[in-house]
Amino acid sequence: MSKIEDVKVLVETGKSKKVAAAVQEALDAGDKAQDILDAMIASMGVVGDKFSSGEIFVPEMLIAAKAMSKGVEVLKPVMAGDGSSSLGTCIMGTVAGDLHDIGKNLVVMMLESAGFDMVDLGVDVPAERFVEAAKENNNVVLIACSGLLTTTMPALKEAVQTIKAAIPEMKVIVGGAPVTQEYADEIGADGYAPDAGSSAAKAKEIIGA
Amino acid sequence: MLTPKENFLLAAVEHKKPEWVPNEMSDVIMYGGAFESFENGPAGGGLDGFGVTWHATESAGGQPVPGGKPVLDDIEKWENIVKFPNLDEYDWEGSLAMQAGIFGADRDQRVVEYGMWNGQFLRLTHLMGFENALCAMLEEPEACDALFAAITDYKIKLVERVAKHFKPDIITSYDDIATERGLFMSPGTYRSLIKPHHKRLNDAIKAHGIIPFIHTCGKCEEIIPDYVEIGTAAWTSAQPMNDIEGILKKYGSQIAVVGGYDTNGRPGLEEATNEEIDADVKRCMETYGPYGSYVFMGFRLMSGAGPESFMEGILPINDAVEKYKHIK
Ligand code: B1M
Repeated sequence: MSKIEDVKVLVETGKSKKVAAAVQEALDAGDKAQDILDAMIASMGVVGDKFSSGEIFVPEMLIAAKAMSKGVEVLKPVMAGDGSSSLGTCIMGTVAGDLHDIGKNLVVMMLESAGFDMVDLGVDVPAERFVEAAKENNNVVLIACSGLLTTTMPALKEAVQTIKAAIPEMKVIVGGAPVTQEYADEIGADGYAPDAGSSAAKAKEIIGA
Repeated sequence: MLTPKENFLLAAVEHKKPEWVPNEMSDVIMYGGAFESFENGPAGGGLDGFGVTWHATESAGGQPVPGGKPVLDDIEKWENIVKFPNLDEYDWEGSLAMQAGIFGADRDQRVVEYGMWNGQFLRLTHLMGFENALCAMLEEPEACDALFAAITDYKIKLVERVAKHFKPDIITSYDDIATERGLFMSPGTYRSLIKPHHKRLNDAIKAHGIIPFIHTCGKCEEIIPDYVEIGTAAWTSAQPMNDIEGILKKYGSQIAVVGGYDTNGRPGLEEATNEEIDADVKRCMETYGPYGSYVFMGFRLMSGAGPESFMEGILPINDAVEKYKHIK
């Protein structure tokens, strides 16, 4: 098996303790950092699809993402200054009043694996904070808002409307267990993804990448 | 005519067809739960007996929510770090008197159910944070197993105190191992790592002559046969993303279903209309009622802390139950 194939298998199976060494070996064997990164992105795509189809569960996805981040740590110094693979910055957070973050964190991981530079605002994020963060950071192309409670769905609406009022051209994606495509349409979001696996494809589609 | 208690037990424990569909939100004296300060911190927030910090938020309807820095980072170090509540420091009789004052004590009319929150899986997540806990189950299964066993030992001591002081008919262990779309972990992980501990706790509850229920929100239909196998009398807080009707058909003679109401859908919204509430209660009564072995349960998540807002959410549901509970 090629070194890159090793890395892919280790990411897909979430072997975070072994990935860093495998990435280093691939680099030593002459593989390009960008190719290794692309392979890991593809692996996370496979993991995301398996999660969407119910073949694997949250823990398997978490350890895969953890493994990928260990691999990325090795690549970072090698790729420093090379912004070629970035899709732009995405600001993400769970809306005001809502403390659920497991789903949001999985989406952050998937979007990061897909090539977005992620700024994670955490949980209980007031609508205006999304706007501030979009202004404070460079090259923000997308804002992603998560909401898990039926009582915080109005906060999701407020977030989308506040963002659109302040920065009309900004793209916004929403999601979370009680959110549906209809609700996303109703509150004026540009997109909705039902799960973390499909969020990366949707996010890319929205920004036209 | 049966008392509400007899009627409830007929459905929930004997798995037969009751005279009318019992209502978990009115036929039960519900003790325990948030009142256990050693499990959920003091009222208004603070440390529990494990050293986990809890706080109450408005959007949580005043319910305690765990937060703060995780107590345990590395599962392999649990023996040196995790401490368990000292159950002898708790004022059991005082707590019983206070709760009986609030919820009543008409034991001949209504069943007494004791809610034992924070089951083995949930306690692991409270100690480590959800994500670390989920990773630990895959990465360090032996250490997880040992910690689950220790948590179960502690829970068994808790059952002894509850049996002695509260003398409930039922103890419900709350372990939310599922999400909206399926189990948090694979069914295989549940079976190898959590189920043996759920069984040991069920057995301990039964050894005190008390009936074990398990509460699991979310989509957990895949493991209902496992709940049957470990001797669970009823699965509570069943939500309709599960095939409740299918479960009642297949397993209704072995396990009761408590729930049915679409708490996460339109009827569970704060702004749900009385018509929407009415229609969902009717759906439950018509769809699940005829199978017997079914107890209705439904609530709405309301914003605003305190029991008043919770009651405000429940009242129209209970009114509708009164209207439809005799549907055959
Ligand atoms: C931007 O684009 C996108 C795109 C896709 C996006 C997206 C954004 N965001 C998410 N997605 C999507 O991708 C993710 C991955 O595929 C998915 O994310 P999800 O988050 O849906 O899925 C996760 C991977 C796994 N799912 C979860 O993590 C949620 C699981 C359940 C069990 C849950 C948990 C774990 C918790 N909870 Co809470 N909790 C429940 C949940 C039960 C359930 N049936 O879902 C739910 C959501 N909780 C509920 C409640 C009531 C509460 N919770 C509360 C607290 C908690 C814990 C702290 C204990 C814990 C959260 C821990 C944490 N760090 O997040 C309280 C509220 C706190 C607050 N103010 O937010 C409290 C109020 C009360 C309480 N004590 O439990 C219920 C809400 C009911 C309602 N009507 O809304 C609930 C459905 C349980 C239930 N059946 O009653 C997709 O939705």
